[in-house]
Amino acid sequence: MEKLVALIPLFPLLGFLYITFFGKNQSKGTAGAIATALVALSFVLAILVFTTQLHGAHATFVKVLDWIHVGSFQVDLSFVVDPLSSLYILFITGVGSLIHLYSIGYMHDDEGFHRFMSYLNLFVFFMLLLVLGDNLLLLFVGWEGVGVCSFMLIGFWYKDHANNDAAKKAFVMNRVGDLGLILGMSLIFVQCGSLNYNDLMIGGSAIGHLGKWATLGAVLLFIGAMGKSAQFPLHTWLPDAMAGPTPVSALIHAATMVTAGIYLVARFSDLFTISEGASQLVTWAGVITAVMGASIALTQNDIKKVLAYSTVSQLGFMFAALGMGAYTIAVFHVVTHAFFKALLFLGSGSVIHAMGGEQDIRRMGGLKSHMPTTYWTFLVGTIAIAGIFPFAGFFSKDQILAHAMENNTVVFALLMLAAAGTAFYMFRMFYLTFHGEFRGTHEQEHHLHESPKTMTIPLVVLAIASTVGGFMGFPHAIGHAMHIEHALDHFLSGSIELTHSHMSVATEIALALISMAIAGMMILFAYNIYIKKATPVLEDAEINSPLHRLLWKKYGMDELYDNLFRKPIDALSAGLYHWVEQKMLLGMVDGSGDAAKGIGRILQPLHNGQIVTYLLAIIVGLIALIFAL
Amino acid sequence: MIALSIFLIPLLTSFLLFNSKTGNAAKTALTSLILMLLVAIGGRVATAYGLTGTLSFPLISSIGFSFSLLWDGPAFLMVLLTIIAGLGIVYFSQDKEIHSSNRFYGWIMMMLSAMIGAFLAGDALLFYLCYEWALIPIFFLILKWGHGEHLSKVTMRFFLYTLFGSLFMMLSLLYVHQSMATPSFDMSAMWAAGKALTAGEQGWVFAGLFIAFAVKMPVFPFHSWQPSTYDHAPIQGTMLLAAIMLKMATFGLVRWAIPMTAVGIAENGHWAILLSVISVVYASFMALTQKRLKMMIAYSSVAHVGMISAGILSNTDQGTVGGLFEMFSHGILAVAMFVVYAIIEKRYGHDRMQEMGGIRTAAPAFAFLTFILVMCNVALPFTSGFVGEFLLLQSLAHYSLVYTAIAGLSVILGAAYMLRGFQAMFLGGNTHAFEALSRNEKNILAIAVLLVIVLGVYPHSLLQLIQNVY
Amino acid sequence: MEILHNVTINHYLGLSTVLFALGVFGMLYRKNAIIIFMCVELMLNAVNLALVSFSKMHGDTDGQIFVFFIMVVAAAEVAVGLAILMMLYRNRHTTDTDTLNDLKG
Repeated sequence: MEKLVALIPLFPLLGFLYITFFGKNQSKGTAGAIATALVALSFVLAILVFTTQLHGAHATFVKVLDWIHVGSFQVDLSFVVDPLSSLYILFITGVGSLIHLYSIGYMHDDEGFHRFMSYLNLFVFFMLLLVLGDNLLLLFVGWEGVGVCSFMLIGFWYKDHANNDAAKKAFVMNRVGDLGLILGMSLIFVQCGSLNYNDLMIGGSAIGHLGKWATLGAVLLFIGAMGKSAQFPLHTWLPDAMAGPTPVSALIHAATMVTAGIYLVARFSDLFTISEGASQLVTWAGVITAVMGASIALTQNDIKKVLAYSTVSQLGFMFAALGMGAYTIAVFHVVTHAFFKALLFLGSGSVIHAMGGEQDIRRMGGLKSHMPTTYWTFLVGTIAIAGIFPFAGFFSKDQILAHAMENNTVVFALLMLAAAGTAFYMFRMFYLTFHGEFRGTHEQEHHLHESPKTMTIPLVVLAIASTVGGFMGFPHAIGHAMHIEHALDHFLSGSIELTHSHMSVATEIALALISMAIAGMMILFAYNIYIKKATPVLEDAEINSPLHRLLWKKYGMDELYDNLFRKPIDALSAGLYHWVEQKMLLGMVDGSGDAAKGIGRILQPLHNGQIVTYLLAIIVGLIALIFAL
Repeated sequence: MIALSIFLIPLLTSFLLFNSKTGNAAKTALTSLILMLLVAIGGRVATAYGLTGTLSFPLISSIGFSFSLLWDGPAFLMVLLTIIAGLGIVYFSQDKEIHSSNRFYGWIMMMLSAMIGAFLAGDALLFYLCYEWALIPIFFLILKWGHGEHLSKVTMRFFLYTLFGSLFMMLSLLYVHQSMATPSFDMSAMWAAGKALTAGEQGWVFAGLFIAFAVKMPVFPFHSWQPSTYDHAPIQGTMLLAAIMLKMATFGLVRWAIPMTAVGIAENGHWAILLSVISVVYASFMALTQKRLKMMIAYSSVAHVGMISAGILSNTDQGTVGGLFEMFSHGILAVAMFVVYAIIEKRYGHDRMQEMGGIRTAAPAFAFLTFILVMCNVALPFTSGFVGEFLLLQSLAHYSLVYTAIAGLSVILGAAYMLRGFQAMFLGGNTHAFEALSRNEKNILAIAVLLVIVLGVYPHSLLQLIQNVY
Repeated sequence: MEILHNVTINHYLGLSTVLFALGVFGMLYRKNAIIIFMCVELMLNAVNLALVSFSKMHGDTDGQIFVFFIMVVAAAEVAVGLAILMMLYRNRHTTDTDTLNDLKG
């Protein structure tokens, strides 16, 4: 059964090739249906593969092709099926096929529809390679591949250079992380002699040969993860990536690609466990990102930007969990987050669709009556991310908080703060969008409508998943008391070492209640401001208070990087080109040529062309020679 | 015999072309190249069944100089590259207006012959002769068919600089040669004699060899002849230089420098690796500031070659094999990138990237193919650029992780300048009338892209082939 | 024939020296390329004379063999040299070496 895994990435690849080369003749409906069906087919296979892992997990390797064999360097195109990868392929293909379906409706009027569907297929292919590869190099193939797809999809509307700039920024910043990953791979290969998971961790323990290099290796891998998963300080590309069409934001920049970093760290949990320093770094990067993302999201008015910063912040939560050794919990949060964040993005897409491209929540309001399905599903997503029982986000987030409480009080306090912020900004956005008076133009109001079925069906499915998805990871202590197993933990234990929490039932319940109470307070707070008092949101020019402005300007990170890296590098290369390249090096070469010419010119008068002079010189020389001898 | 015929076919073709009318020059060259391809592949297969492809007969026995050609994996790989790149160059230019085309193609064929001689040479003196001989055809190609002001100055600079550089190689080879009891330029004798030297001597021998190769590759700070030469040369000349000629130098590292002076490199060759690494970063910075496409490609080529040099010099299996693989990949990529340049330059009349835009709207297939080539240039996995570059970085990491990190900066900078250029030329809304690609142009790009991807997804066979002798 | 016995090798060498000196001075002072050419011939013959004299004195034929070589070379030189001068005259209508200074640096 596991052999089928080789087909899972194949289907989306076929979809990409088919639509790219033969798609022009197909109608939009057919092309969309093919793309969606192929991913759905992969999903079915993924379920089959997943079920093989349910009963007694064991890692299986499926080799497809010899790849790079050079001396001791042996890497194949080969897949691994184990709990971690099978879980990942399950939600990648699952959420992926829903978003494909959604895209048929969302992108229907776009002239680049075929191109869009083929890119999405290609993305799914690379994402599946990333998680299925049985070695770091194949992971890197997927890693870079999704980066390129992300580049193509962010800059999908390529006629506007703002989109292209965002795409380029995403790619280049990701490459900063990729360099870390390359170096990490190099270090691991040099020290351990293999890049295969089987040798490193699953079958053997070669990763231990890193010895004193373990921390460096872990940090380098984490730098890769930072780039891909938008962790501080490499997070600034993700909000800009919202320039792409909304399904892209949902699939790539919320549900799947950005969680590749978590996959990487979780996959190398053996390495991070032995390196205390790297784990600390992961925790703090996560915490800083979580707080920073949440605080910026408080002030953003673009519906997608709010969600983008929310994603940044949630990814921070996941990394904080990873750093504290709660690998399974982080993966759990990845899965629940994939559900509710994809739901929220698709919901926002539905809103943008109805608003005719408008993304500013200050121009929305009162959409509830116009688009009920979107409203209710969006509400589910909002509650889920805010962390209210029994929705999915509650379970995963609460377990991260529980781990933090056990490990480090400061981390716990900061994460709690970020969680509170999350509840507030999500409901702020929710109220501004769906409640109150409509604040857009008449034309827009006239145009408001519920989205077509292809778009609402994925919303409903994801809403259901966001509601019940959390039960796969019931909190330990309470679960133990109620004889409910933490299904996910148990399942993942085939791939990842578990770290058990030692919390008592009472503490766990208390924590859950406290965090829900805080979330509830924040929701009421938002309700009070935006519904009851109906405080209007400040226009951009009116933002005066320094703190507000700082947050609204995203801590000035973009400008900082511009001044710290882009401009100096451009100036440096221009300066090097002018001074070193043109003046110095070329000057030296031409200078040596000129010097030869100059010496010639000094001696030139001797050569006057009069044969007599030469003869005289010969004879005088001869006579001189005779006398000298 | 196989090696000899592959060496002779282009040479005879060039003589034939010099003595013929201009009519069917391109066709003749193309036919000859296809013949060479068949002989090369057929010969490779025949070798697998036991036929000897090598050849050696003494020419000047008093100094141990013999005309000896090898036919092993690396030699075959480089010959294959020469033929494929040559095919690309001739195929691309067959429908172009070229004055005195018989002599033009004659020089090209002679150049190919010289380079094949250098790749196949199993004798140090023969290698040196072919290495120098290749300069003559390209000199005339640039001088007669080049363009731009200061053409003669640029050509002379190129010629003298590279000729001067090679003298150091001759000194090194002669030093090794005179250290033998019975002098011989034969490869195995040279290797053995080189190994017998002390580490200090090897360091000096290596220094001479490396300076010669560094000028040709080129490596910082010996590269200053290159950008202006690429700029002034006819596009076919640029392709010859970038795709094949500089590979003589990197190949020389693999074939001569490493086997003779491995100890010397390890103990006294640190500076060469450092220069190569600096070259990678420096050239990337240079590429970043270029406004013109041709110059950007030229500098990006310097960056790639620096990587090849650094990887090879770190002297591991991955470095050698990765270096050879990257030479092959870069050769194909260089031809393809300059074809892209030629296509754009022909339609715009200039190559200032910032003054273009929106080509993608007018020519989506062209944009698609170019994008894949750009991705190969930034070493994206599943393109041939990645396999080579990763192996090279891997090899460098055995030497020093810090150097790997510095050279790896090109991963970031490469993406920055390549995408910046791609965006400026292909994306954006403003459109300029863009004549559709001719069938030849489309074919050559499509084949290059196919090669690049096939080699990226399934490099196994080629890698095994390269390792045939190692 | 008596007088010939009184002629010693020194006389021959003296004549040879005088001829050679005449050739040298002629070359330096004359402007006409043909005269210069003749002066060169004169110098060659001066040398020939010296060689023959030594040959006679030592009684072996080596010197005379040299002389034949020189004569052959001189003949060839005349053929080439005069041809060059012919061409020169056709192009420039002069053989004055003062005006023939194209190689001036």
